[in-house]
Amino acid sequence: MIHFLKQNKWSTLLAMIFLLGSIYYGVKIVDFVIDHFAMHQSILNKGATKITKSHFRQPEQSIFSKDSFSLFLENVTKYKGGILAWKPFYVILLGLYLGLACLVIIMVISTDDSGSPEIET
Amino acid sequence: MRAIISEYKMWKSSSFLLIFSLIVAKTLLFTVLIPPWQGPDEPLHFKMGYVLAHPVTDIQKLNTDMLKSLQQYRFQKYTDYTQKESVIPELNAEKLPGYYTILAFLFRSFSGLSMIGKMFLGRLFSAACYLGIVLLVYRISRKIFTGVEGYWVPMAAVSFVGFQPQYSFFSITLNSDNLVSLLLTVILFCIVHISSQGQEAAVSWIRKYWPWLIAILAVLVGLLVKRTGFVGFVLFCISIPIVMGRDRRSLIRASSVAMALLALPTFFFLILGLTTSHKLNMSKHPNHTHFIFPGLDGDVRLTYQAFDVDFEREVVILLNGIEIAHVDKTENNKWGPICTLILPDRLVNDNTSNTLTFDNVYNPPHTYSWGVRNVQIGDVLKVEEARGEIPPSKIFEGLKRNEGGIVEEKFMVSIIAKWSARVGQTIRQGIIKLRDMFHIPFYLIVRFILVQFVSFWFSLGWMIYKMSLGWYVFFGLITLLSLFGMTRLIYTRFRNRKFEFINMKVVSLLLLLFALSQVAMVIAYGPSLTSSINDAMGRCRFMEIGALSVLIPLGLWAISPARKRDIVMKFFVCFMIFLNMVSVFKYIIPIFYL
Repeated sequence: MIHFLKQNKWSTLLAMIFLLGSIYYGVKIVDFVIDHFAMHQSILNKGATKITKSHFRQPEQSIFSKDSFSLFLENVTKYKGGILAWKPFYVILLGLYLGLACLVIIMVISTDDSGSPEIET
Repeated sequence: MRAIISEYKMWKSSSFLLIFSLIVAKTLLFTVLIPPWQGPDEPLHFKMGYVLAHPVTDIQKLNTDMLKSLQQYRFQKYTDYTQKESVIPELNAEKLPGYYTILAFLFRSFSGLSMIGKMFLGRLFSAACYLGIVLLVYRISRKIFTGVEGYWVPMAAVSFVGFQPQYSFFSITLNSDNLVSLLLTVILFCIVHISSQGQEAAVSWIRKYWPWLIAILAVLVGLLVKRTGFVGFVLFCISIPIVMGRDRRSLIRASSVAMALLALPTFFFLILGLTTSHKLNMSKHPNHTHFIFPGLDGDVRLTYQAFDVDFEREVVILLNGIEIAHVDKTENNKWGPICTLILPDRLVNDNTSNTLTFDNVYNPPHTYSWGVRNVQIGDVLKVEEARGEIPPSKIFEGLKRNEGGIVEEKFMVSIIAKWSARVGQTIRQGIIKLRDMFHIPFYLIVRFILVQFVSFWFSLGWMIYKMSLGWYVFFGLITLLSLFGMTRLIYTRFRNRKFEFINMKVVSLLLLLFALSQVAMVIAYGPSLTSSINDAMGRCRFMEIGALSVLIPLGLWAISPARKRDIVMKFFVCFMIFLNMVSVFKYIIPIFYL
């Protein structure tokens, strides 16, 4: 497995994305199981240790739509002055954050286990 | 060969630089993305700094301006606060002045900025402290491995401190805890540096003693910032024998010095605190609240609503300094019904103004949450006319809150007096509540740990918004694996002589900071565990972030199979970045802006 991952960086990248995606959706499955089966029978549902769904209130909206993103830019600049009232500032910041995050993940994958770059032979 | 080495070094540093660049970008993003006032106690810390920067501030005007700003940024929507009385915090004269002096200096230096501009300035100072912590964590974690092993552990440590969702949020808010975290990490770094210096050959005088000087400076500043700064002092003292004791003789000598250092100031503050704190009037809770109304003829009707009063005589009502009644108990964490009280004519001044005080006599500082609202003065006749039903009260224009004067009188008085009062107070409170601590029901301890755990990982909007439960199951798994890993590392190192390339002195120093923080938590919050769950805040753990951010990845590294350790660490780095992105796009933006 290690040998395979070392030889093929794209495979490593895909494996990493797959693993992270699995965690994301794994969490959703755990949520579903807790919500439908465990929450009612758990000892955490009794007395002062009661844990309910309301303790883990989730936002209903998603940012991944054109309208939502415009609304976000509208709200984030409201009542602010100077550069903080400039919408492109937030777009640039988010872009920088996302771009660097992707770059770091790629860097992590392409660097070998001792921290040195893999040198093609 | 030289070319390969230089390329290796370049790549090695560029890996860190790239991760650090991402952390800088993320810090800037969080600084502007988290709405103003959303940090824990952010309004209070801002107000303390602001008043110190502008001593002649009109408190009422500042309160009005802050209230307007809080409403603009929909503060109440994201918090438990429902009424304006609770939103604007009272100045707390018992706070140590270190952090606020720095804030005041910044506010004065940029006096042209608006109130929100100054708040963001304070946040930038927190962000600078945070970036300092990231750099120090990297340096500390690099000292753990003596060989070429474990290259990815420092990267994983930096990723933890850099991308942990709750700390990413908390680290940029205006709060004195951020400065304490930096100072504790500085002390830890200096001690780690000193301990690794001991293995090197002779070094110059400056190189030998600068870590000592910086550590002492950090300890002193820490003592001026917050009570938790005392952890830094204890850490420094206990570390002396760890780093200095090379043989039995030097160990005894270093231990004696450490004991003396530790004992003298502690007993000094303790004795001074126990004997003088009541004279300094600092053992009294500062959360009394005053209302002033003009002179009136005849009996006067008072109406009010109280919040979370747990005991029969917890909150007393005083009129012109004379106790007239106590507030009835309410349900836990809830506002009680509107109460009515007749203030007899003989106690109400006819021609001069009257001061009405609600005083929580049970409260050592910030132990019990409570409040009053809808405080109104009405005409008694109207009650009689309405045959027992409470009509809308006439609110006299002169009725207003009064909290001015506290800061000017006490804030900068005497740091030694404050410290002694605080130490005396903590110990006195601890002794009183000690018996209660042994009778804490098991479910309360479980709940305390769970609330702390959840709010350590992610809890926004003053602990209202959290990630879905599944995430915490996953975080629990990481924590448990790390705990087992650390146990395995320590056991196998001493039992089987494995992991010899790990510098156990550094690991023991990290564990020491971790352990001291636990003791500090028990002393600070143990007594209040029976009465208030509000103290179970995961952010209290961030004072030990310098140690935790190294120990958690190190535990995961140790428990992984030897051949897969680096892959696990690489995955941990990617996971932390991914988790941070989820917190931004799935939680922070939708919660605050959609």
